[in-house]
Amino acid sequence: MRNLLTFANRALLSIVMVVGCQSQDGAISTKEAAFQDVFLVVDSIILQETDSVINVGLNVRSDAEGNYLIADEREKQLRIYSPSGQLLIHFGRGGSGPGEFEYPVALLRSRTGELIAVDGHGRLTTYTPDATRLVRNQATPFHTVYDADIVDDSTLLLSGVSSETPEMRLHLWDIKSNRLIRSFMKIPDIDPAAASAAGIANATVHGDTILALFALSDTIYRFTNSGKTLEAIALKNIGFRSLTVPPPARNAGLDAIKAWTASFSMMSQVYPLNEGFIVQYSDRENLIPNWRLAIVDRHGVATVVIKDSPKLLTQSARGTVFTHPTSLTPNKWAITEPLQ
Amino acid sequence: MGNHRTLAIVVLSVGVLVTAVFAWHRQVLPVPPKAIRELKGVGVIWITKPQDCVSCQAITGQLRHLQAQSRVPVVVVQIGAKDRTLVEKALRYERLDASIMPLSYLEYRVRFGRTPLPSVQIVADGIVRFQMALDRPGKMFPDSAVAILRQTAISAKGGEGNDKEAQ
Repeated sequence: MRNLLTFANRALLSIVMVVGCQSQDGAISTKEAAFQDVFLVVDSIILQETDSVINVGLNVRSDAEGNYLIADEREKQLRIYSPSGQLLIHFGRGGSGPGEFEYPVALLRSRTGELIAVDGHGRLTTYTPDATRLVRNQATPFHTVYDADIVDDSTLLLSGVSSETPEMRLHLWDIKSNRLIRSFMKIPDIDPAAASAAGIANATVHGDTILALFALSDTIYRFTNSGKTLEAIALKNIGFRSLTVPPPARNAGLDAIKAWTASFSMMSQVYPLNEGFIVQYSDRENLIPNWRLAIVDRHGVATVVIKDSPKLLTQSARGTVFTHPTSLTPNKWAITEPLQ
Repeated sequence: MGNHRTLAIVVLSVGVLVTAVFAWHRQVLPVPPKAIRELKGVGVIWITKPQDCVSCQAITGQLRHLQAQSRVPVVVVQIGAKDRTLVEKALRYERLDASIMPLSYLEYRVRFGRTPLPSVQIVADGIVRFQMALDRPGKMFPDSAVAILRQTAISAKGGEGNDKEAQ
């Protein structure tokens, strides 16, 4: 089956459309393309499941050994899978006690090998490298955490909100001393209710650089690992729809909520490519996200846009990982490389 | 003699009245849809409006695991037909293998009477064994109800009935 899929994708090489072509005056034009015209599926994996392990709401990272670290926000469970999809270990459950999670958003491998589980309500839980023993359980001042990544041996990058600095979305947190080092990335000036409802930020560490997105802004933010602003790259030609209307009242009906969430796009992930970035964003229909993908150059200009993309999960040493484009369930993945 | 005749008339009248009331009552009793009446073995009926389908995440999680253990069939009775796509996508996202039965609000009242909305039922051979209103977030089947499912469905995991229903 895997060979068949790989063959099918390789066959597309011969008929691949030219994307991001240079027009005669030198300006870059954006092309819409299908997923398989832009990415080559080099491998497909199916995550092993059991009666008690079902993959639903996946936040995925990979470690240096190529294992996949999963924080399942819906199942409130943490899992480690081998590169081939074999379930190595699962742990955690719903709750607010030690080893329990309300909304796990990330499972990370620290430089020292320990596993750090980040709960969406700001709690950090550290396990031994083999996940058999809980080392420490830490509270942070963040009432909401969207995303997290490892900066160095003792520093964690948290994307989230605290009541002390509600306008800041990124925070450097010292795990060893359990204290805040610095908050940065002030959100754009938008309606506070909208910022509360949809003001999500995501950030990942790449070498000595932090790449970040604010959901309601079509901009890539680059920072140093210490939180110093490097640049804000405005994205062009990706078809992003900005928020223009305030969110409906809390007691508004489903139709009002659906209409509001369908009225704007939301940025969700950014990863570096050789000559630019890959950006994932979404438009919502019936509350369910339709994933969009854009390949943009270093200046933020889109060279190709994919309107119906499988969900981008993570970037690993083996390639960019998506839910498999032919699968309706999130436990089948495609490991891909961009076609040149 | 006159008293006996009066008594007989009264008894007869009461009997006719009771019979009439019973017959009328039988006529207006809710009649679940045929697909549910004919459900073989045990099954779960989730009666829901589309917006509740999106928000009742605790019960979907529990049903997901019950299905993983027992392949118990789940029928989602969707009240209001216009958001079927939303329900389909929500169920797919929740990894719940369920058949969807759209009903208008009027049909729901005819078919399910005073059954609360949203609610879940456990039915066995078409008979409701357990019913629970999903009147607050996080509500799940109590252990007693799970036991009903386990006794009838999970213990019969190797049996053909439920497996066939789930396919």
